Amino acid sequence: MRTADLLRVLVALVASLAFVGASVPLASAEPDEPTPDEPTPDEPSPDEPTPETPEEGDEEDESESDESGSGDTEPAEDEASDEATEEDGVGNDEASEEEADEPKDELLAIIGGNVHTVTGPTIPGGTVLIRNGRIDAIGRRVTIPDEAEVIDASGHEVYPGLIAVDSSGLLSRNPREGTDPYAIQLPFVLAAGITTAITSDNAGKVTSGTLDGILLRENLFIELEYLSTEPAKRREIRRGLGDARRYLRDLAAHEREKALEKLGEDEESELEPPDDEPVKGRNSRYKRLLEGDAIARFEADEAGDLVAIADLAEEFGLRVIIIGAEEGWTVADRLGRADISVVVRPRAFNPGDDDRMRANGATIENAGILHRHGVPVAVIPADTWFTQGTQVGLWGLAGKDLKHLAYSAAFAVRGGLPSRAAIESLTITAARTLGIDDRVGSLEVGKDADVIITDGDLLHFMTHVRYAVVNGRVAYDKAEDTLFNHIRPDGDRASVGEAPADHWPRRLGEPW
Amino acid sequence: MTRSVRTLFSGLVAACLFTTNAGAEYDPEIVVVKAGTIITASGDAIEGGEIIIEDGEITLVGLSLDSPKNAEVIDARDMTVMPGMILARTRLNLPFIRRSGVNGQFVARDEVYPDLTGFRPALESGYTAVAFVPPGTGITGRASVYRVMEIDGLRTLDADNYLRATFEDAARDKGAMVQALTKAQAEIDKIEEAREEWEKQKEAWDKKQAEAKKAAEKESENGGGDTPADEGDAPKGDEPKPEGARRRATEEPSGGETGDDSDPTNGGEKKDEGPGEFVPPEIDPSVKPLVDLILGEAEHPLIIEIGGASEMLHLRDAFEQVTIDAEPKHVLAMLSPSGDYSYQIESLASVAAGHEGDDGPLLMVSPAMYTERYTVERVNLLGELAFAGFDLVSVPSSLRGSSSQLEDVRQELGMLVREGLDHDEAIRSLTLHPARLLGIDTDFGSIEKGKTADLVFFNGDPLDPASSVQKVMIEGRIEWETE
Amino acid sequence: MSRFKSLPRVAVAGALGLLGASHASGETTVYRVGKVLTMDAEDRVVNHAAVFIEDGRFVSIERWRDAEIPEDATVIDRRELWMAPGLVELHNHVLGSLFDLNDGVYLTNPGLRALDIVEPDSDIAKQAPAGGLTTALLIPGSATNMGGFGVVGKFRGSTPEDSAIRSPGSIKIAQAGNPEGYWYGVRRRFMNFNLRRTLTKAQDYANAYDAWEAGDGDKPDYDPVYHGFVGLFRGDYPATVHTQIYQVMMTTVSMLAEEFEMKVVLDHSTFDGYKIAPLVLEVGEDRIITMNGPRQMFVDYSQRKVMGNAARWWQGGIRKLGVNTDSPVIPQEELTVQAAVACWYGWTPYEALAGITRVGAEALMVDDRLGSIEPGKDADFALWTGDPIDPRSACLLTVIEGEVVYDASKGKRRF
Repeated sequence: MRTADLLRVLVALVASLAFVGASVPLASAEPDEPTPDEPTPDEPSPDEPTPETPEEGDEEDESESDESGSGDTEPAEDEASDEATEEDGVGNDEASEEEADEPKDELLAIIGGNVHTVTGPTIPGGTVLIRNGRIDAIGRRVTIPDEAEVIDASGHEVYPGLIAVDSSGLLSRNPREGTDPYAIQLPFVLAAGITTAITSDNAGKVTSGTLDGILLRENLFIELEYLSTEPAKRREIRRGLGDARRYLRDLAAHEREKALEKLGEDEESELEPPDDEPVKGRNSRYKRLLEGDAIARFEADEAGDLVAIADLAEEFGLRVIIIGAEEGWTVADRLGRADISVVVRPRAFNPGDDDRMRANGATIENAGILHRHGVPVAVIPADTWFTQGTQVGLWGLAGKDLKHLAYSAAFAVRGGLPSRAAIESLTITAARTLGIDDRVGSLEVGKDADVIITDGDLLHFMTHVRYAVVNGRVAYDKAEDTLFNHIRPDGDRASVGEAPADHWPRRLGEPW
Repeated sequence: MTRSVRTLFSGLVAACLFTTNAGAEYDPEIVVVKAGTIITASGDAIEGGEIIIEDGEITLVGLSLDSPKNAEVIDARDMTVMPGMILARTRLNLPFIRRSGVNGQFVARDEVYPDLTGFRPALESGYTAVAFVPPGTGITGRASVYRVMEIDGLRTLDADNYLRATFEDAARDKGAMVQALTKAQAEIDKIEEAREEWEKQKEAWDKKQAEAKKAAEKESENGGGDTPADEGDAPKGDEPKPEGARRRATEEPSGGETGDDSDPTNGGEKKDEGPGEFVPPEIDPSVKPLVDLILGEAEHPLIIEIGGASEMLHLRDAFEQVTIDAEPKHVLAMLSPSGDYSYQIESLASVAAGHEGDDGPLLMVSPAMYTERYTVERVNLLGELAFAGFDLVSVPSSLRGSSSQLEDVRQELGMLVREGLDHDEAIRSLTLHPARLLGIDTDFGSIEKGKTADLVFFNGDPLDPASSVQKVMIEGRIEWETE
Repeated sequence: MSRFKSLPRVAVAGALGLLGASHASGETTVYRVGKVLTMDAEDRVVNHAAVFIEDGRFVSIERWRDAEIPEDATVIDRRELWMAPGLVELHNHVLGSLFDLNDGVYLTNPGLRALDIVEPDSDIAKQAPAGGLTTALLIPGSATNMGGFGVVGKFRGSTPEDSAIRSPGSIKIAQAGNPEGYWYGVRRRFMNFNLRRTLTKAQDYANAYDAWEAGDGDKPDYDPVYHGFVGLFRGDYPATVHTQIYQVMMTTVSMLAEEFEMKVVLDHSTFDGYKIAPLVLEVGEDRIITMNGPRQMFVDYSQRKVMGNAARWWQGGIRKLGVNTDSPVIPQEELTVQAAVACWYGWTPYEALAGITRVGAEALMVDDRLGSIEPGKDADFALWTGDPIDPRSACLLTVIEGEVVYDASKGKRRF
């Protein structure tokens, strides 16, 4: 009798574990668990699932990305898929040679979806083949190995995972050191399409349920404060950079002289190397900056500060990102010339001061204007009095933080940023800005297999992520995760559907 | 026996100074316990059985035994008798101390002092042995195991027991764990280097000796000259030179240039000295227990108090992050009532399935019904784990362990039994399994022939919340009973 | 049509007269737009439309090709844009001075009027038309059980008189979930007692007044504290109730809607408040209108599900449903974004747009003037680059009673 009880409990336990679903990363559990690749043949109807209000017929408002995509696809597309299959071939060979008696490759194929590579063409009905956490092949004519798991993304859109260029409360400062991979915030942001998040100055992956591959890269940037309100800090930065640059020059000269001396005579050199104080300890960061080893990260909004940073960047040849840049739109050409990247909060509110003699304050058009001046623009949700844009708030306020990162890109579109640039702002531009574009930010062979499959245009306000694949593994499956699986399970945007069961007024002992 | 009589005795016993096996000079003291139910922990329960105890040791357990005439009979036919319970982790009556980092050098023994009243809650709750642990977080040090006695307060059973580490919060504890493992491995490498160095020297010295011998032989053949014969004299030559060896090992740069020369530390007398026995360099005491564990030389395991599923992943990652010769033998302690351990139930189950040996793998737990994180779904996680093959060791979640918390352990176990945990398994989690964890299961933890007669008498099933401890017997003598 | 509704027009007639003087009577303006979402009872959508406006009112909505444009009419050709009714916000704190949000003198402050703090010219208030908003109910905060009377105002002008179209707009009641901070010891039992006592006094006054009007008894002494309740208990304007979580909301329904027979707008109605949908339906949606916000989602930790509040109300059968921003909690120009978020969590866009136009107007009892694009109603509308609910669509032009109050092409774009 006790055994029976235990079995019942076991069943209950297993049922409750379904919450974790595919995120339990156990090798032992994998072979006989075909969970994530249930074919989804009767997902939303084949036609574009964007129409939402009964009014049809306006051709202005959306699908710009599709159009601009299809404009240059025809010739480029085949090229790309050829390339892809070629590389695919190479990949296969290497794998079969090297890993003869290694553990089997982990293979995942995403088929049938509209593949938005972001850096290349959009491939309708394309396949993304993933091998051991990397993208192995992309194209229309990719051969899928028999042993590969398959996700049918027909009628869905396939994008690279999104990048949150700043985050808090998601991963620990160093993602590998203390992240709770079972925290409920992770499925929340995966459902928002985020697969990479910057935390402190490190980049981490949103690897729900596992720590494997959670750290993408450390020490991406060095934060500097260079504001007119802090003249002492400004002076210190200028002095530090100047000293470090002088040291590097002296050192180079010293090396040269030493080399010349060596050519001449055999005696021990008497030349002293320059004092390395300017690059020691805390000053080493200036050397890193000058050598392009780290990005200089500034927070600045005022036009004057932005121009000062642009001057500094040009003078010392720094790689610079500016967070905020509310008045960037007033000095966009200056920022564009200095090759500065900007992380914009499109919804930033700052009415400005009408009494000032120049344009000032924030505007929704900021991202669009900066983009038109050649400034790479990434986006992040704005803070408000009650919400922090880089957090995942679970108290009910929505649309203002990482839960809905794509909304911020949609705001940028509202302000004139082209849809394509808006999608790039969440993916490849963000990756380039942070110097992690060799790993993430687009769907390209060799990059990390961070892929999201959505039930519509990424920038549409009703679009849900159906699957999020991180490092080649399904980290979020909407149908399996209880969080959102009751919202439009059939993808029908015209219907509110049936209510899920409620805890209340359920009585003890009643079934769920 | 009344309290006053025992008090009279106490002086005598104290005079005996813990000499428990003084029985040789006297007639054996025989006690017979007639019990309603005997929960043996090692085997089936016996209804209406008897336990015969000679000199504090169980000699017979069974139904209607022939008891010796001169035996003292304890009539407990209305009671349930079980082995004395063993509390495998507590800081009962010890002060709160904040401490963190790598502190393997601490031993709980240094804090513990006999205090009758302070430890009585354990006795009153039916615990006859307790393991005190050092305080704080990180690698906290080693536990010490004591008997709980009414008269002496405590009596040492094993002063140097398991090593306690916390891993309740990865963000806080992972650094300490990684640091400790790195340090321990560095110490091991140091030993290894020193050994290699020593071997090299030994070889060179042996060679030199052989050459010298040869030369001497030649010389003697040639006739005359001093012989260094007594150098070969074993006892003298093998005399350890710890200082020299240690200094070599610790101070030498890894290149070890001096290695091939004869020992420079002994100056002029070098000629007479060999490298001697290998003396390992002194090991940093803060990681010494961990070094022993990695080398497989430790008697007791490392107990890691793990906070949740996330921490289980981080622990694994910490073990992978540091290249160590071998994973230290460890036992997990799942003590957080809100822990989301069930996210890792499959990996736990595979640990149990892959375990070799008759006994299951040990797992320290704090008995409670668990609630699935982010839901109100209650699960009998511990029932599952026992079912999967783990041998549970039940302790209260709190380190301070007040008497009510100690009582709660039994009652929570009772609840888990109601929800499907095996009753005998629950009993063993209080007796036999902790005894095994502490390495005292040859003498304690069950009612079996040959074991020490530590018994607890309940007025009902021990896991029934309505039952309470009536008597506690230690080594055949009633040490405590209700008024 | 309630008797009261004619009163405020009289009250602000002076202001309107001044405005009206600026455009000659009988002058016709025709907006040519790509699409008109009329949000009328028939849910009509007119593509390629001509919208005729005279004297600050809609005159007719026709298809462009069928329309006869008078010679002297001003034609504004924005055929690339969509026209939607001016949005109506029921939970607004920024049309007035934010410093004066809460006058927490007593635990109930029945006599106070939000009209006194209206500041339509503030930087924050001026943001609203950039989001397509034209009308808002400015209400006091929830620091006390009764913050006073709200005011219905339009986002125009610079004085309270320019803006206000009806005062009182509603009585603001905060049932729980904030007034606790008033003083140590203020908890639900006391708050309910205190509220009931105030309302009972108010009802007594209103009854005496009504009786006198009906020719029964003496005229009661004018009481500035309670006089506003006369209209309230007649049902001329609603009680907007700060109420959330289902336990509190049950009290709202039983006490305010059933016991005191007020018209109730459920402001907030968040967390798991949607569980009381059956109780609301029992009383009837003619008496209770649900305005959800600013929270749009609720994490149900009992079953690890995320509930979209609006979707759950809708699933529970609630059809008089809208969203609000509780600005400044959510900036009021993001009212459409609140609707978009509600849709992400399961609601549908057309119903969401209805919720912030005609349902809002109905809840405020100004649906004879506002809430849809129909002949005779105030010409309050906004022109959008697409579906107003979509955050990608921008509002480029906002018009209140025929007057342009926001033009994105002039100066800095505000949203």
